[in-house]
Amino acid sequence: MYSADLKYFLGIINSSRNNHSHLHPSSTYTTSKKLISLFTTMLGRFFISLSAFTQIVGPFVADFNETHVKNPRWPPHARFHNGQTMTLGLCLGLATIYYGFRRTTPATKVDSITTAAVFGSLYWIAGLSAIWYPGTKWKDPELYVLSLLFISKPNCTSRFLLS
Amino acid sequence: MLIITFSGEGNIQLYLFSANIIFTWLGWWLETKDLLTYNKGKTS
Repeated sequence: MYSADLKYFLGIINSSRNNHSHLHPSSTYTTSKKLISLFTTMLGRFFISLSAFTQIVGPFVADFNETHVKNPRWPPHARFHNGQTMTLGLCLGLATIYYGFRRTTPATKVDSITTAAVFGSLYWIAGLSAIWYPGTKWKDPELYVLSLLFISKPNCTSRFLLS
Repeated sequence: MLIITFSGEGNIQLYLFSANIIFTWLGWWLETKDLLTYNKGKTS
């Protein structure tokens, strides 16, 4: 949590201690509204972080194995582009975290979060567009068993051997 | 073991990529909606 968020949160706690809700019902409303606002902001940050984390870890988990970059049937240049994709995911994820969590003023916060969201969605938009290039498929025909986290071929020497 | 077996053209990537785009922009909306409302009120 940022120090600015912490000050904001402590401000809410402080105001809720000092308010006299039986005398000023509107102050209670303001406090609960502020708490809801803080909660939605934190939830928003969680979702953006989730996307960033998936971008950083996901490509390496899904591609750094015998089904992709270590696949003996893949030509060298296909592996080269797979490496490019994995590194791109890492860089975009780090950029998402940087813009999502950097210190901002209230005036520049929207711009910063928008930049984080653009960086956070570019990798996935590129992934969706890949199916429209000639000769592409969502997966190779040999990969017919999918786990939730890993794509494995039943007879390969993967760590995630499925037989 | 938690495994989903797809016959034919399983495209888990389609759902995964779409879900991440939705998560990202849902996060953007949740984080900026109060700021956008505040800025709108300030300028009008």
